[in-house]
Amino acid sequence: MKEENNILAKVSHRDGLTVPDGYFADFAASMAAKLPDRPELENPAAVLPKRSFWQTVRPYTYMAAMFCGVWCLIKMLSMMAATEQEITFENDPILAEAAANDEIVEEFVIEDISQSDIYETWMENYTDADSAALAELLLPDSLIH
Amino acid sequence: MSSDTPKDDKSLIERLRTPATCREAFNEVIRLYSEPLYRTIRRLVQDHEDTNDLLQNTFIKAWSSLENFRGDARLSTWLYKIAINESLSFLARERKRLNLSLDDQESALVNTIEADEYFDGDQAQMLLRKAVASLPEKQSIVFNMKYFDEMKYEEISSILGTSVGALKTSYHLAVKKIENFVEKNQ
Repeated sequence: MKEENNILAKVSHRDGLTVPDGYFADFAASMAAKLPDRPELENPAAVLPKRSFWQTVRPYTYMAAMFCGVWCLIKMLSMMAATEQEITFENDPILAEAAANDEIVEEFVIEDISQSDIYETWMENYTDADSAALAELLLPDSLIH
Repeated sequence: MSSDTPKDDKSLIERLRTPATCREAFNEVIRLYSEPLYRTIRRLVQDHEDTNDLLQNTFIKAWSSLENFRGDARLSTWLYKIAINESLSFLARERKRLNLSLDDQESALVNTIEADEYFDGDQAQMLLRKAVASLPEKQSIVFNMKYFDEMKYEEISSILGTSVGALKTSYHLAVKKIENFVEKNQ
């Protein structure tokens, strides 16, 4: 520390740096000439054009369009979520009413589908005498004859 | 900053912000600050020609972004920040251009110091200059500002954006490293 303190004491805050003669005077003059023009700084009124009506309202128009877009997106997503809901006997009142009605169930579910499916299948696949005899046993008279 | 360095002037800042007088006021800024900024840059990059280029860049940058100076900090703080950033960027570019490590660049700076024609100091000043060049960049900035410019820690803090406590630590570490360097190279 003593040597270092001697050094700092010896140097005494002087860096020994020099410059060419007249450097700073010449620098100030040449630097002033090198500064680029800045008309927007030195004469702003002459440079700035008058804003048109559209330029003034444009940012607000874009903002309104943005909010409309967001609203539409939210609306669309909520509609999609509603249609995706599976229709079951529990959440659809019309279906629930139909299922509670025995006549409807008999006519449109049990009798109709099962009878027509069976009849069609037999007609397509079984045409020989044995199949006909079997069909007589299984199917009601109204369908065979 | 030494007592000879001009302080910020409210009227100067006011004239800088007035379109009709801003150019003339900026020319006065150049006259007032070219020497202190030159020394700050030169103590980092060592070479006079490089310093001259960086000093010009500093003022051009300041002029080009004059509207960014809101006047809430001192004019000198703002100018010093630009000058130091320019210097550090220059050193980083040089390292990249010449593919140098930090140690290699330190050696290159020492060579520049030894060959410097714009130096009329004695042996002790030369040795100190080399010792400072061997410090990490930020540490050498702190040392230069504290020792050569005799700035207060608060002033250095506002320029570098570092706390006063960290600056004091940095300065004392710098002094210790200089001590070791001098001991090895005496």
